[in-house]
Amino acid sequence: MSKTRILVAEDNPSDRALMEKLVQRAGYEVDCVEDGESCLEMFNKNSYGLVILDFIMPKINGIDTLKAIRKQKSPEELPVIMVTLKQKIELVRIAMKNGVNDFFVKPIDPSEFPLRISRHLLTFSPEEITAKLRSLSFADSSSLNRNIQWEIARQNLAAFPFECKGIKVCAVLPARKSPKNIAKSSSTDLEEEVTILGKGGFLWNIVWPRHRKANLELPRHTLNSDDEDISELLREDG
Amino acid sequence: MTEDVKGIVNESILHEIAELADEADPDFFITHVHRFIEHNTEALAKLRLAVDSLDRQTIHNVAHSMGGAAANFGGVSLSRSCVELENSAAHAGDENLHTMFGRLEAESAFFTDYLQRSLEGQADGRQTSREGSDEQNTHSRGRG
Repeated sequence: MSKTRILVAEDNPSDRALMEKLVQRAGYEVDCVEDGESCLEMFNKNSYGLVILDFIMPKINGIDTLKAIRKQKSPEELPVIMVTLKQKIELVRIAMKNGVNDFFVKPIDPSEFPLRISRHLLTFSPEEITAKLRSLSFADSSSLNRNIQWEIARQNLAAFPFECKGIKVCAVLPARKSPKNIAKSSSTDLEEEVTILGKGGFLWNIVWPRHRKANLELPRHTLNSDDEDISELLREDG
Repeated sequence: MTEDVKGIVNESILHEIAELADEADPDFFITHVHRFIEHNTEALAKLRLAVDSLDRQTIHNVAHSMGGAAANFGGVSLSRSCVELENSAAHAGDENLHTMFGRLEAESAFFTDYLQRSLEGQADGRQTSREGSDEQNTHSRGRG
């Protein structure tokens, strides 16, 4: 089976080389270009599983490149992640209005990078989800309506991870019933983090807030609310 | 090493980049640092011309590009100076732009020098490690 191909458009050679390296290490094929025009040429010529775009690029900037991509492919068909400096909240707002799926904030965290891109590329069938969950040691596996819960979680993954009140929320499962003896990699008073081996050998980190204690914004809120809420969240991130 | 060199360099980012070197590309860090320095020098020259000619769009774009690359390399203070210039490109007066550019230039000089020294440190470390390894091999051979 051929590997998923990712298109990276970034004008700075140093950043471009870093992302190329990170994509390759994550196990994907990568094409790199230095401006929006070349990005659209490659996009029209080849098939990509994901596009990573810088905001400010020569010839055609990131937002206009995103708009051109969205005329042909929806966010569900082709995830686009944009790269920004934390200070550029206004750009985040514009990109969201134009169908961006996610953001990388510079400095890019090399350990988070593969998790983030794989999250947009994972497509588990309900059977695969069930099989994967069976491989974990839930004390009471039958107590969860797993397929439904995981499907909901999967739908929500596009916005993650984000930092909220000092906690990195990678994903949140609907915590109607918390599983016991979950394969836990870390936990705090506010969260439990679960690590699951995803497709392609990637680790899929899921942070499960302890609902009663955690004062977290839930993903639905952050995704569906208006831009002000998102920028407020990002501001808190600093 | 400290996490933050007086708020100027985030060394943990540099460590993470250094760890990206693998068997297939053992010199990734060295190549990457050279690439950064080379592009940073070019960008600085472009920026100087743009500031002198008050080409605001170029100032904005080049400062943005430099700032992103510096942030990805742990150049906290350099990145900050770039963002300052980028944000002021549209409206700041000639004198202010020159002052900000001067600051950015100084930060850039400090950071590239810091990176060069990091490379030298790494080369020394490699040398020491190689010498240690040679010595061990000699001992092994002696025992054999």
